[in-house]
Amino acid sequence: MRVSLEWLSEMVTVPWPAEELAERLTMAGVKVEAVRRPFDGLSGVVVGRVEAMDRHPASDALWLARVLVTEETGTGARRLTIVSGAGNPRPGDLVCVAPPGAVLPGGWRIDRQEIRGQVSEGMLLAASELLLGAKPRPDEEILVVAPDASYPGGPPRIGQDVVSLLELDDVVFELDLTPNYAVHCQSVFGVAMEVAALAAEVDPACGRVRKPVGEWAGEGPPVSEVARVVVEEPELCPRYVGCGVVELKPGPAPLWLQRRLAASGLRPINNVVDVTNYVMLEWGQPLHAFDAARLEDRTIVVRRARPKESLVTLDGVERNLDEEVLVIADARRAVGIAGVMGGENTEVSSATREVLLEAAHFDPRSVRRTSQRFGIRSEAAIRFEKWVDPNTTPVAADRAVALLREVAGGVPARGRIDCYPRPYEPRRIRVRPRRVNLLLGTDLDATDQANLLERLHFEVDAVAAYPAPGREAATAAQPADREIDLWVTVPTRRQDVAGEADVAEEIARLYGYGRIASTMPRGQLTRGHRRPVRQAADQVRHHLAGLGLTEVVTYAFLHPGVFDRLRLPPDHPHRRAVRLRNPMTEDQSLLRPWLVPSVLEAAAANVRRRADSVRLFELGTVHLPAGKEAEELPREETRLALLLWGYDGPPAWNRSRREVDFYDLKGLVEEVLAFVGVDGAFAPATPRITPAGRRWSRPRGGPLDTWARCTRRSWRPTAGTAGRTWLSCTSRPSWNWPGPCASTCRRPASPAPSGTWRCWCPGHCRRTGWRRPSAKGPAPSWTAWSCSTFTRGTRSPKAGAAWPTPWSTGRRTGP
Amino acid sequence: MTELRELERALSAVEAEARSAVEAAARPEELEALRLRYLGKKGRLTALKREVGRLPAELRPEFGRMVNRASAAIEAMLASRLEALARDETARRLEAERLDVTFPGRPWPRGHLHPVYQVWEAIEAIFVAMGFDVAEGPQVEWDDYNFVALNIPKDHPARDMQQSFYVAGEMLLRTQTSPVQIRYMRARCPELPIRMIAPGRVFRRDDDATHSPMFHQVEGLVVDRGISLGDLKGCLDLFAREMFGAAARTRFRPSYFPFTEPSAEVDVSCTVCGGTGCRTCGYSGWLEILGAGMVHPQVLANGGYDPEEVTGFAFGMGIERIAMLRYGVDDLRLFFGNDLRFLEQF
Ligand SMILES: [Zn+2]
Repeated sequence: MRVSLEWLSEMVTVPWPAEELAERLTMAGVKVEAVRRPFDGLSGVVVGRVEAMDRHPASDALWLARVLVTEETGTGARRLTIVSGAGNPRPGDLVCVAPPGAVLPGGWRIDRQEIRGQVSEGMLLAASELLLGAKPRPDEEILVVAPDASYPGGPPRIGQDVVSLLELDDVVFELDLTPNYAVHCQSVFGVAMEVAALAAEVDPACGRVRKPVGEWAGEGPPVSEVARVVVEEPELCPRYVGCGVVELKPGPAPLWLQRRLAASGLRPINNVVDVTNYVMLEWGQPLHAFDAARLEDRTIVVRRARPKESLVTLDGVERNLDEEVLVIADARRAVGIAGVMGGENTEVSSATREVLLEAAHFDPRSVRRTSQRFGIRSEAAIRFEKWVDPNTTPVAADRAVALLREVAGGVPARGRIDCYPRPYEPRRIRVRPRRVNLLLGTDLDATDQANLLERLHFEVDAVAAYPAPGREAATAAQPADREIDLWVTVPTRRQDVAGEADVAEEIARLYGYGRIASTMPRGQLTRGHRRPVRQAADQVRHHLAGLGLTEVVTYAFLHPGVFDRLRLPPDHPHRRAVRLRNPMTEDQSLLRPWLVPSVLEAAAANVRRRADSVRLFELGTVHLPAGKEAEELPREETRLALLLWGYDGPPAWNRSRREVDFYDLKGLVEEVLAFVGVDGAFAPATPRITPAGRRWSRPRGGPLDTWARCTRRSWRPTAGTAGRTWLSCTSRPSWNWPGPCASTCRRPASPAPSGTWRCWCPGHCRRTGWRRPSAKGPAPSWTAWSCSTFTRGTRSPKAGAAWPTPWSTGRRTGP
Repeated sequence: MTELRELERALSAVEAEARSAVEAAARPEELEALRLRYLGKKGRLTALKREVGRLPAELRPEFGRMVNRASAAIEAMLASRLEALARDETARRLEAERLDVTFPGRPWPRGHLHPVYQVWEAIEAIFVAMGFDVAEGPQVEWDDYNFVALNIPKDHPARDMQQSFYVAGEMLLRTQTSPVQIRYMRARCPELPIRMIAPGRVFRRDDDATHSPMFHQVEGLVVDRGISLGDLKGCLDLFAREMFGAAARTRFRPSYFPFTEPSAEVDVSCTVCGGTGCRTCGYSGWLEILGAGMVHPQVLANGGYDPEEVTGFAFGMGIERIAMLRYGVDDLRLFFGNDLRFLEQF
């Protein structure tokens, strides 16, 4: 959301320079992302009068203009001859002239130059060159300045600087609004209310907001002759205000209005549409103008769409509707998707003479669902889905009617349609100042708090309250003596303020978060705990890094084709993976059930980058589908993968390197097992591949097809030596490392699925305590790091049962 | 008498001969041979000793002393020569075995922990020392926990800020670590105080230089009687100083999260320029590091606590964000590219 400072200043007196205002708004929660001066650099451009417009003698596409830029005075008139690309200005028209030496926004300096044999003394400007919103086009016409008095500083004069004429020294704030502030700050008026609340601290006079209201008297026919309105769905459309304007003269809107739209990021279209957009920016109330003559039977019906109904929206796309969609219809067909976008069939055109102006309040959820479904993020939808104050609706409609009369020559119809069966009442919230202080850590008395709230135009009644019966009186927060309660009436435009805590936030942000003193929580001392298994995991990670392996972190996603590339049999359990319903890309559509593909990919990427020694590990989570898929969360396990590839270490002048082999990896696995105090044994697995699976090695097409293709060239670090990848992965739930012994002590019943080799713990691996080193016999292999460390304080599962996850996987909605 | 003179001359000759022979010897073995040649049973000195019979009895002791003196002299000669040879040998060997200590050593391979996990551990350590428990929750989570119990019902605009990956039915990949708040409170209720952090993986449908579909967050939650916004400020001030150095300052700005009220966005003084303004902080002097706030009464109630009786604060931060600030990394994707040349710098 962009807000022009010039526009803002019309409604509120800003006592600070732009940067300071931005800082103060940011610190009050209305985050100013950037302070822009879009016209920075613009200088020397003046108003001139065309005296003659002729064809360029040497070109059909060019024109030669004679422009008066200084009136006939004592020093004499100054006239310039300028070559122009468009010939639309007629003699007598006022245009914007950049004489030699002028600078356009962005620093483009204009010089005298020769074009096709004619010296051009400057340039005639089009709207896009002054950043007035229009899209730059090759056939864009020269901007003609209307000689009327609608400009802020009166009618334009020859030689007048356009900066003062069109207020091109404006500052634009770019706001980054969180959803709650978006409710009331998506309009210049809303921001002005915030500015006023802040400025009132400096000067109470600055706390007043000059509301941009429009006054008009119905001079035309009664509005019922323009159209009549039937709201069939008051739940989804609680308020519908309609005004009629006739005898309109569509055309370009005045420059001041175009400029404000452009500063706010909207493109000028024509004066009728521009007025609806202008009022939307000003009041936050989206408006729509229907060409009343094109409304069948001059009727507006707010209803749900009929099955198989369709509508071509203003963006030219045909939308298929159904009963879920709220539409604005005439007697026969839909003419707009309520709150989202109007239809082409009743669009305002240059032929439009009378319009029905719609200002409504739609149900935010319904608008949100519809805009998401059709993928239309229109300015209207963005506002409606947050909340548009239903009590501002007629004010905005009045403002629009008044503007249409002013800038489009319209005549207002008599009267106003207003369907508002159940008016929204402002909320009244009970606020206990003591409770607010407790929540904020402040010491503000009831009067201070009330004053802060009144700056936001909240009405506050102070009520002396006596100890309430029951629970409240008993709590520590509420001592038994007399207290003041505040009853706060929140305007309906502040839908985000719903409870005492919300009011506390309003108090805090106006008081200033920075002024609240930092304290430390008081209370019982506690010791911070980490689950023993997490401590163990971290120790193993540090140990592996000490052993020369580098930790990687890979995405938890997999490509479904990876199982074929790794030649897993079709019925392999690893192929049962949790599938995402809406992945970003196909190669991220599965949640990985094992780490192997991820670390292989990480290694391959490094080999592609010409690494010659890759030693990796990842301690990561995998997800295994639960039995009852939609009722139970997938099982989540922490696994460890180790990978060695290439040489056994960095090169050195005094050592010959060798390639790692199976026994390097086996040694590493044994080291990890010893470190965590687990005995391990190795045996060939089925299918028997000795001594280690060729399946992982030398990917020459075949098994590792895809990554073989991308790595083949760099796969051999030196000529004649094929690189071999040695990989270990804790690949079974039964080896739920570093889980409890009970589950690791069992010899797995089925062959290890990795197909290379497997490791299990025969017999006992639980060692408790330590033994004194004995002089006789071999030293006992003891470790202070026994398995019982992992299980301390947790219940050991039954033999064979899976180790329980530390959270419940079931679905429970209530406490 | 002349015989004695004669023998004395012969002794001197042997001694002189031995001296020159010993001095010429270059190796210990040669010295051993010389010992045998002069002092052995068949040696030259022993042979001279036998000549004693030619002398009259009164001169014999005199001759004996002369022989012993010569024998001792030769012994001494041999010993000193042996010692000299040994000294030379050591010197020679030392010379031969001298090391050039300036040559590079044989490298030991060193591994590296991932920077994101290093920061994760650092954050954990700070809060554990402050008495926070480390809690966990599942990465595949129920919509109820991830959104509804946190005051984000269906059709809530806040869902736009967090585009989710859906799994099956009402299951999704958690978009934040905040659901652990609910799980933790429900598991502990009515215990007090609650002080926990929950680090973990989260997922959002986003992928560019500053967003990744998977990243890591740390959630924090404190619930007790009388917890205030001031306490939140105090805790996070302390965290910022521990994490970014004693000079780090914080700034709290009002913000919005559906599950906290009041809410705050927390900035820390720029780690690069210290607050004077630079490219990293967009010339503002501040860096956004985390979101926080007082736990919304409804969320406390969803956790089983009575919001009239207890209050609490919660915060959440992105670990990658902190890692980027701490190490000056400007592209989030580097953390998940797993380029060893990158990882080996941490
Ligand atoms: Zn900086």
